[in-house]
Amino acid sequence: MKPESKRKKNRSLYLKIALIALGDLLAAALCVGIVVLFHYVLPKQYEDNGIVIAQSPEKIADMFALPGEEGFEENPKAGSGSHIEDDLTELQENLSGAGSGKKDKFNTTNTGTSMVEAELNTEWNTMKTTVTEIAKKRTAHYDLTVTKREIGEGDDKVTYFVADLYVRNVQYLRTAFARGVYGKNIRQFPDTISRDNNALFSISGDFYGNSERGVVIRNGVLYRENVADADICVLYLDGTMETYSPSAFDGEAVLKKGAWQAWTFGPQLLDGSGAVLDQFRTTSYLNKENPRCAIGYVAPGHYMLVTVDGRDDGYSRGVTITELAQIMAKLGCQTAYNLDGGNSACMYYENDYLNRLSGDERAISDIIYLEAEE
Amino acid sequence: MKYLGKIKRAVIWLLPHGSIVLGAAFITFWILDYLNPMIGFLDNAITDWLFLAFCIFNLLNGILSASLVWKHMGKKKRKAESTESEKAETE
Repeated sequence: MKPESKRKKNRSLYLKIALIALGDLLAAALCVGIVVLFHYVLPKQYEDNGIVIAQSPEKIADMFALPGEEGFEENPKAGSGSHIEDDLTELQENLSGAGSGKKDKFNTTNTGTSMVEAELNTEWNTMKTTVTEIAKKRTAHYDLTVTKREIGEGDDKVTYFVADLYVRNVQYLRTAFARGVYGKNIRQFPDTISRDNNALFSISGDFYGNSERGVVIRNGVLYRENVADADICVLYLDGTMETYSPSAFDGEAVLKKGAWQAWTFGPQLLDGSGAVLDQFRTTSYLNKENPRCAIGYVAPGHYMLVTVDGRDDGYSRGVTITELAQIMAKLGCQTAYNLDGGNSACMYYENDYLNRLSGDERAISDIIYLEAEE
Repeated sequence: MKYLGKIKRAVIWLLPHGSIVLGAAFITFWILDYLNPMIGFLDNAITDWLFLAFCIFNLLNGILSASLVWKHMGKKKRKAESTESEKAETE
């Protein structure tokens, strides 16, 4: 065979191989596109209306005194008041019947765990935090004070918002789904969800609608019971809040104790006694400096809701998970939990965002809110 | 019989490409899942089924490859034997 015709033959062979490879790549892209479309884009409303596991939060109304009132303790222990214990015993008796009859076991589907070591920002120990009060509201059922806090300078500056919240009863710390329905990929902008629910104040939730896995309990209704490979945070009717690793989560015990809300996002930030954890269940990619949202528990009826701004040099760079844990520990939280951050990180108050959104406003699937009251 | 041969050829052609396509898709899902595990690209009903398809494709590919290798080795062995016997005959 002549060298020229051999070269020609080789060229056509390479072209054929390249076309086949391109075809395979396009087919792979189509495959990924179809999965993304069905898994992440197309909204799907679940017919499951959940199971009511906490029917009567009104029964334990006025559990906690607000600041300045008689009987107010800065750090009351859960169940220290006898009337609380009585109410809860009755409620838990109802709950053990309501929860265990229909949902026997929480399914665990752990796929592996990625842990990241804590790297404390020791520079913050010597820095001063500037605190500015930007909103205050006291109603018959809650006391809310929102402050803007700034730490650091220049490109290292971090700006965050802290909502110091006291409630008479956990029923006032509510959650809401986008469009008011439980489903997958059903999203709305946080301010729209807030307005639809007559919210005075709100922050982003755990974006439960992004995934098919993870425990979802909202306002005393159990919607989803499978345990994902993510930490879980449970707010109980007795006002306490606990965080769990997937392996430590005991669904039956949680239902029995009386869960009011449960979020699956994480990681958990503190060890339950106010100390920053040594390791966090996250990836090194997610541990970078980012806008964040977190909920912290100080004492029964006393919570800290935090939104950290980020991706905006000179205003706020965002924080790592360890830095967020440090912020929550400094605020006096015993337990704290990271919620959906990034572009979802927002804090809404009286028809507007208090924080500076880090990009385009993101439609999310749920919020944590306080209803507007006179 | 004519169609059977065509189907067989099509299946043999499709099997490696199916593996390539699903393999590339799963590498993409793995990267997406690493970047944001909360979305659960590797942990949902659709990817569960795709993973099953990937396993079947790879299993069939493996069987096909093994049979081809076995055939090829057999051919080689027979060829070596016949050359040896021819050599012996000429000697």
